[in-house]
Amino acid sequence: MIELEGVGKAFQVGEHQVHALADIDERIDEGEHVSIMGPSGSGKSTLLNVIGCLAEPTSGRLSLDGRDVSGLGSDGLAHIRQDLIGFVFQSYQLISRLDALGNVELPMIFAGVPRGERIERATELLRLVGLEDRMHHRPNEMSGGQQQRVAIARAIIMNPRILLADEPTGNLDTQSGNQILDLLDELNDKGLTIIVVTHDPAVARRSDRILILRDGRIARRVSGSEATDLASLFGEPAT
Amino acid sequence: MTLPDLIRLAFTALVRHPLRAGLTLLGISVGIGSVALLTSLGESARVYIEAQFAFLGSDILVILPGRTETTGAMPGIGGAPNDLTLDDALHLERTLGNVRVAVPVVLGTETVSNGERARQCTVMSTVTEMQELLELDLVSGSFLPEGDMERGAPVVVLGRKIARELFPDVHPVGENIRIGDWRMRVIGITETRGTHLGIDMDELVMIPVATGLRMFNRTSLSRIMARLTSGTDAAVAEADILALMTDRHDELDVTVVTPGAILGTVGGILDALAAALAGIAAISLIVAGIGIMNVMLVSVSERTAEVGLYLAVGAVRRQVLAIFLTEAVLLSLAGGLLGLGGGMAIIRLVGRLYPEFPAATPAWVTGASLTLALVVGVGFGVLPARGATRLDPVTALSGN
Repeated sequence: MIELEGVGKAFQVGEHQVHALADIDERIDEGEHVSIMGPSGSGKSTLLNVIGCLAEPTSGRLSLDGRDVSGLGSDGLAHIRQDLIGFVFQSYQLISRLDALGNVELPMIFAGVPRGERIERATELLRLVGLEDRMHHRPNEMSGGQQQRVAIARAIIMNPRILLADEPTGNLDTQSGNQILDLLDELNDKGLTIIVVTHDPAVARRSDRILILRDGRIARRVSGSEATDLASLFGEPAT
Repeated sequence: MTLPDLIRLAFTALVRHPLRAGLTLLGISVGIGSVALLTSLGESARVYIEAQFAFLGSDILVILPGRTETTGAMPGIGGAPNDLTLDDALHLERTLGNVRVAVPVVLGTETVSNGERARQCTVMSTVTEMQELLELDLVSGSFLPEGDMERGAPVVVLGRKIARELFPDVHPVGENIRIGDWRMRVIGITETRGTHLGIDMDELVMIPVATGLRMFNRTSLSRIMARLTSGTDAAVAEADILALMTDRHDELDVTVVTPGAILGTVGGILDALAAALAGIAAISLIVAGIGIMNVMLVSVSERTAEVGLYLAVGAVRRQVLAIFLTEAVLLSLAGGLLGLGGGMAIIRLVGRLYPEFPAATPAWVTGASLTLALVVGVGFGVLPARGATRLDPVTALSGN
């Protein structure tokens, strides 16, 4: 599903080149649920953005669903995002002036889906995430958990193959966070490939695999059940 | 992405900042409104002035004392001219085959009264042929008597309006009025004719030319009006008249004005005026356009996270451009409609206040105003909108 070969991402900061990612080789299969962990600045979000085609790698090769996406250009990448990828952000990124329905509709507007079908599909998904009675509420009229559920509905409205979530429960209390994680598990059970960036072992524990980044490289790979506490995760790999 | 989608996204964004959008819209409406208003007024002025001269017809020439170019500008500048005399008028008519009739005119202003009722009027002293020349119809009575070049009877022909004002109750023909100290008998009333050449024909008082010369204590004419025989070339007739007058006065000291020349001059003035007004309107439009640009720049910088989200959910750059451009165009079109409406309302008001002025908004002004609004919206909106499309998705999502 997702193949990274020697992927690197360098930023020019003043005169220095900073390698946010270096030499990442990884393969994530369809239907996997993978967590990315690591200290802040380790390149977790950058890796997620590269996989999500929001940022282009400066070296290496990335292919999604068998398609090489290197050098596609901004519009080409936009189409890949439209077809294959759904994003969930820590701060939800809902458009505050649109109601829940309008926010979920948005990706379909860019894809040129006719209005009647848009409303039908958005309504259906809002019902799926348990917000059928919040359809015409604006984001500021909803709780954080509800907003994140709207964001998830928006992320899956185009039937993506991959769902990328950056700290999806970072702004939520435990109960709302668990509801969101349950929802993600449910989607994963239906075959959606899910990658979650998190610093919370409780979140990572739900995934099949955990990639632990340090200084832009994958330092360790552990299974989800091994995510017991932060200390053991970020400790030196056993040799 | 359809137009209704774009409009819905743009509209919801605009109404979030009603004051900001409203003020920008006001700026545009003032700009478009002044364009619509000034061009409409310019067009109306042209129609009005052309109507003023239209009745003269292309076969009427006016001979004025004094030497100027035939531009219709003020005669009398540049050397003391010989007087225009009754003899000159007679001679023109008799000598030149292409002048059918030459009519002497003395213009003056005098108080016209009937008992307590009195008012200041333009008094035109002329001869009986003036009726034929201006194609005047009479409501009642008769026009100035024939063969009265030298003698001058104390008779007067009144315009319809002045007749009604002086004699609200009595039929005026046969009654006496006073013009200054002169006691005159009303012999005829002309049909309603409106304003021509700056003289309201309905308030005009006409008396025999000899009477007028004595009344205003003059020996010379204000002008001679000549009507050409049909099929005559006005330019040839003009040359003939100038040659004859030069011969009689030993120098070229008259000016021949043709309606075409007057219209040409006035048209030139109107064009210059229209250009100046358009310049003023253009400045206000540019200011309004910069207002749009400013608002859009603020809007884009406030909504970088929104742009990032659009990109993340699969919008291509062209779609982001379209969203912001639609906002600018909505603002400018709404402002354009408002301004056009305001301009048309003012034009209508002018038309009501001055019924004789043909104030109207031509269809092309309506179309041009809205097109201009569209151009301003796109022109000044494209730079901020392009700024939005150049954002890097990741940076934009972080809201910076």
